[in-house]
Amino acid sequence: MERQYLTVSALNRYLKFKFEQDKNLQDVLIKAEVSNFKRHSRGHLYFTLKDDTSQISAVMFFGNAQKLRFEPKEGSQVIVEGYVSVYEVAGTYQVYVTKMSEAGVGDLYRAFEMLKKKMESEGLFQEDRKRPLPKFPQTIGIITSPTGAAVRDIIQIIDRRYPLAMLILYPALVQGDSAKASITEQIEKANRQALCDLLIIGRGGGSIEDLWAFNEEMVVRAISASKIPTISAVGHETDFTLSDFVSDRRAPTPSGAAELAVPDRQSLLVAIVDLTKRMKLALSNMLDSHSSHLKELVKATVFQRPLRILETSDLRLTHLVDRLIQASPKKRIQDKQDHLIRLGQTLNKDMNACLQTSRYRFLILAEKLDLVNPLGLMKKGFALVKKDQTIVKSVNQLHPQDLVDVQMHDGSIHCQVLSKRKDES
Amino acid sequence: MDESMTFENALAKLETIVKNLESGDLSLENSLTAYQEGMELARFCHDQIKNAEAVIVKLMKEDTLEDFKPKEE
Repeated sequence: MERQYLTVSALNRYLKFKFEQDKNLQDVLIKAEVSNFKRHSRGHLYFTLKDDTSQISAVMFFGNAQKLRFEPKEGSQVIVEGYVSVYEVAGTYQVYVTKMSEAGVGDLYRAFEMLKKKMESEGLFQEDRKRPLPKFPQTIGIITSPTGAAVRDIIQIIDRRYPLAMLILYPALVQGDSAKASITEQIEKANRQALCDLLIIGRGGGSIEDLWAFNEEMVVRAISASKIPTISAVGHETDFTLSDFVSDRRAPTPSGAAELAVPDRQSLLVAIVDLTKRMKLALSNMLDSHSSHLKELVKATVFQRPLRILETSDLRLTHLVDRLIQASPKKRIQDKQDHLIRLGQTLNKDMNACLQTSRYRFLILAEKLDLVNPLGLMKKGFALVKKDQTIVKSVNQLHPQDLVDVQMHDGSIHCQVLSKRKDES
Repeated sequence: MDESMTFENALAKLETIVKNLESGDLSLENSLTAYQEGMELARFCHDQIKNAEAVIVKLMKEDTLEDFKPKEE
C-alpha cells in the first residue's frame, strides 16, 4: 500500500497546531539573558534568550514592543512573558514575547563595560596609538582557528588579491575557556618570532559568548602590546569587541580583514600600466619640447641669413669710424692752432694799441719832464750851490769864508763866501 | 635588475622616476636613462604580479613551519 507523503508546509502547520494544543506553552514566564538583539525596521524585535547552557529564539512584535519601559540590549537580564509557537515559513519554534521587564544588567555586558572603561582611561583605544598598515605586506600572520571558515576566507581573498604575500597561520582556540590564553600566546609568539609585518587576529561570527575571548583583558593587552601592526576581524559587521577598539584597524569580518591587509593585484596592474603611460608621455613631451626648441633655433636669422650678421657688423664699424674721426687729435690740434692764431692776432692788435697809448703818454710826460729839468732851468741862468757835495738850500747853511761849488749848465766854479745877508720874510 | 628587489621597492622607485620625468627638470640624457630604468621597473612589477602563483600558506606548529591547506567545507 502506497504511503501518503506530506508537504513541508503541512508538517509545519501540524507542528504549530501541536504547540498550540499545549496549554503550558501558551503562557510561559522565563528569566533569561538577551543576546543577538536586533531591531527590525518595522519595529519588531528579534533576539535570543539564553542561560549558561541553552538558548531559544524570541520575537516581540511592534505592538508589544511599543509598551516596553526599558531599552533591551545585548546582555540584558530579562523576565519575559509570552507563548511558544512554530514559525511555519522557517520551521523553527520560538518564544512570542508579549511582555518583557529588566532583571538587572547582564553579567557579561557589565564586565565588558567595566573593562572598556578601564582601558579607555589607560588610553589604549586612542587614535594616535593606531599605526598605519604596511602597504605591501610580505608576510602576514593569521591568528585564528585552523579549522574555521575565517582562515579559509582570508587565504582565499589574499590568494586572489595579492599572492605575492606569504601567510603564516598561528593556530589558536577561538572559543571556550582556553581561548583567551591560546590567542594571547600566539600573538606573543608571532611578536617574538618577528616573521610577519602584519597580524590578522580574529574569528568568524557567533554569539556574544562565542566571541567573548576577544573581550578578555589578556587578549586585548596582548594586541595593544604587539609590535607588529594588527587588524582585528571578529564576527560580523555588527559585532564589536574590545580587540576591535585596541587594534590598529578593525575589519568588519575576516574577509574584510584580508581586503584591508593587501592591495588588489588588478588595480596594481592598472597602476603600473598607468605609470608606464605617464612615463612615455613625459618622455615624448620632453622630446617634443626639445625638437621644437631646435626648430626655433634653426629658424633664427643667423641660420637663415648668415650675411645679416656681417651687415650689422659693418654698420657698426662705419659708425665707430665716424666716431673715431670725430674724436681724432688732428682735428683738436687744428682747433687749438686756430685758437692760437686768433689769440696772436688779438695780442698784436692789443699790443699796438697799447704801444700807441704809451708813446703818446711818453711824449706828454717828456714835455712835462723837460719843463722841470734843472738843466733846462740852469740854461736859463739858474745855478746850483753845493757845499761839500750837498746842495745848499738856505743861507743859513753858509758862513763867510766857506768854500762852495756853483754848478751851472755848462760847468762849475769854485767860490768863497765873502759875506751873507738873509732876506727878511 | 637587482635580484633582491621587492615589488614594493620597485613600485616606489618607478613612481619616483615618473614624477622626475614629469617635472621636466631632467636633462635629455638623464631623461632617457630614467625612462629606460623606469621601463625595466614597470616590467619587473608587472611580471611579479602576473607570474605570482598561489599564495604560500604555512602553519606555525610549535616553532616550525609546515605546509597548510585549509579544509574544504
